[in-house]
Amino acid sequence: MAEADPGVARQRAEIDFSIFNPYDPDFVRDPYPTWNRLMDDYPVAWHRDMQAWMVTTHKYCFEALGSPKFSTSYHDYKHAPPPRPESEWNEFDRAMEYSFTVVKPGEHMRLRKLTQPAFSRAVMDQIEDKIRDLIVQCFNDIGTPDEFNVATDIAQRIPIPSIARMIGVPKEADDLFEHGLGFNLLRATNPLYPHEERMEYVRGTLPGFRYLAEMVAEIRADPSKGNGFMKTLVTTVDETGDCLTDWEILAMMSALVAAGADTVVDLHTVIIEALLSHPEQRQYLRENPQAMEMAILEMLRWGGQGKLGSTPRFPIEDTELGGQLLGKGETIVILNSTAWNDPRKWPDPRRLDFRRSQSGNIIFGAGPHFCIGLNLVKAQGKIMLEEFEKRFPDAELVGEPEYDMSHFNARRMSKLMVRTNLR
Amino acid sequence: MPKLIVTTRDGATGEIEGVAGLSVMETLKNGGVDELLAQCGGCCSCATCHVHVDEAFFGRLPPLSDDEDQLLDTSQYRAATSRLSCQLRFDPELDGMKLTIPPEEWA
Repeated sequence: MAEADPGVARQRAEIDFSIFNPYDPDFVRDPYPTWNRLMDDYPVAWHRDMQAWMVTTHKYCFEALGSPKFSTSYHDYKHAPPPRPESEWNEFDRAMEYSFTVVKPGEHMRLRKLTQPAFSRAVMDQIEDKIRDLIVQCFNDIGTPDEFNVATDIAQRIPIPSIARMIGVPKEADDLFEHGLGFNLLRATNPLYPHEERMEYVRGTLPGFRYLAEMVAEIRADPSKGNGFMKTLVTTVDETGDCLTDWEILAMMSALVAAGADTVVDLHTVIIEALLSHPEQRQYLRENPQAMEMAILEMLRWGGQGKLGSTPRFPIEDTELGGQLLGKGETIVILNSTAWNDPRKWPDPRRLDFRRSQSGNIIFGAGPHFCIGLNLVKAQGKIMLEEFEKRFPDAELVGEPEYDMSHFNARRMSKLMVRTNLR
Repeated sequence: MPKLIVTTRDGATGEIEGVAGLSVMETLKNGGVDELLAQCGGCCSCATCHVHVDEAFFGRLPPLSDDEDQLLDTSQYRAATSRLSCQLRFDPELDGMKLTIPPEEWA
């Protein structure tokens, strides 16, 4: 990345809600005109109303995601409150200090290295049966109606229990994760929320953290009590004898829950909407089941479910990006969904094409914070879609999707109706 | 059997049998090179299957795509003979190709 040039600051691009309002219902229903305008005219711009830089286009999103000058640590935010003494930390504070997004880059790589074996294809294959049972049960509960709502009957029912099954948490704790830990974690760590509101969300996470801490301690004492995933986390030791501490495991699990409580919900609605609205692609996938993984990537790309970016970034020093000077500690929102629909990278981006090469995609991010859970996501999507097609081969969409306009980060479908055509 | 000769981060060198049709990344992972993370599963999205290729073979490899080139730029250890192993398909002509796993990024 080029050295910061003071002259760049004089050309600062600024936008406001009149140009990009992620909370405008018209935007949520049809984001593409806004995204195209941002990419064409304001690829990197300071949003006066949101007090954050908005980064768009594949080129600049990729650059920002991979740059070591953009920190994911909340401590690098210029308006972060001073850290509290360790003696005053609650479980949320402690888990955050050990999380992938807060630790320094060298420590981050250490955590990734020790955690990666638990997310390997081999371990995910072991968990697949448990996820399959859960998904089959979900579809059994749907039964054989004339119509049903994919958003409530599939998308909101699978992600958190999948993570719970992966971790080995019993069903009775599902609500604790979804409405306790997951919901509150995402909001507690987002600087776009006012401080007092964030503190409420922090308090909301504590029961979930305490539950997980007890579970990790039990498995540490007796690894046989953990399933394949947890046992791998607890027992992985590298060539130097290094292993994850209990709090590092807890931090990673909380990140899993947060990710699973949010983005993976959209996976299910997006891929069903994509598939059912493109009969020729649906037929291609039936004839070429080996294309499922690439098809899932293409459907996610096409779906563009992000309203804002994922984890905010904060420059560790004044840094130039896209001709703009991003100041140290300022908030950067990387609008990933624009990258997925950038015609400079994806010819005819609104065309869904399972034969399209996915080379260079940033659907699961890029750089050191690349999504560690993508094997779980792909497994979940694949099993769900296979079950859906088996049970409802003639299903079709009914009407347009409806959206939860209050969601802070995603174009979250609250209603995606399908007609089963079983009768 | 055609093989790859791999030097891992600890300096150890070993041979891995290659299977025509698999990517070099898959060949290395199947051969137990676990330090090659290959997080994205081989779709040129993460740069964690980065290898240094010996010069004798580098010129025989298919050219880099823009995506691969861009991803390699994110590596601390990009060298003149760097490639993403997921972008290389193994075939018998690569028999004896020497690869080195670069040091860990940002360690």
